[in-house]
Amino acid sequence: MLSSTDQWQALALERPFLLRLARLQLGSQADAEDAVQETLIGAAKGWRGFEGRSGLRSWLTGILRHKIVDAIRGRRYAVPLQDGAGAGDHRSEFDPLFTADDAWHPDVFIDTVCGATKAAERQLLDIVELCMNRLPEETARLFLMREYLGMELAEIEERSTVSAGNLRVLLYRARMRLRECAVRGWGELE
Amino acid sequence: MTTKKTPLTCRDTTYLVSESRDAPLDAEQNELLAEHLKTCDACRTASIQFAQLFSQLDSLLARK
Repeated sequence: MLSSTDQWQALALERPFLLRLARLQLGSQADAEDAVQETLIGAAKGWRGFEGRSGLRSWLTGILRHKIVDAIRGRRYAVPLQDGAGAGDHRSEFDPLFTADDAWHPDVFIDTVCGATKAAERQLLDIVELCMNRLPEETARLFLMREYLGMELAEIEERSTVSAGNLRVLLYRARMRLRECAVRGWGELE
Repeated sequence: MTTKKTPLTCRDTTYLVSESRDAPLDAEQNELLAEHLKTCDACRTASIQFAQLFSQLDSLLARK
């Protein structure tokens, strides 16, 4: 059993990750700080409920999700996002990955798959986090509304000003960029 | 008479893989994807990579 001081130290280590998630979703540093602070205080109070099975970050990330979803759904206005921000021409961005007839280009295709050993799990998650941090902010915000908050596309469209078509393009673009970044990272682990 | 479906390109498969993360593919999309994967080594590899990436995202973002 960790002492109270150790608990706070463990919680404080996760703060930057949580704050980035919250800031992206809530759009305001002050609101993000509040949501994270509430999460950490709630976690400290409910430490006995933390069973350690899923890891501290995962536990906190789950608690924070509820706070962010409540905050977003409680708002009467949509998070202002510029329609088309970052959507652009997704075909040309990924042209170098494909041949003229849209097959994977053999000269640049990275075929590394990750050897998911338990020991490397933390490293694998670090790679994904690093890759996610490289996404443009508006793209990351929409991507995380879907992937973190679990909102359906229709709700994301309603709560942002992005059209259905552009939302699909942005999500596609984020996933393609993440794959490209992740497979490079996996290659370096070998 | 049956209509011959246009086979997918590798780039098409990436659109479907992304879309499948948001909503289940329909029967025709699944069939076309499966047909393409049967004959395309690179897409089979890419498909595994996407699955691994999505699984890691689920862990990182506590979606499991």
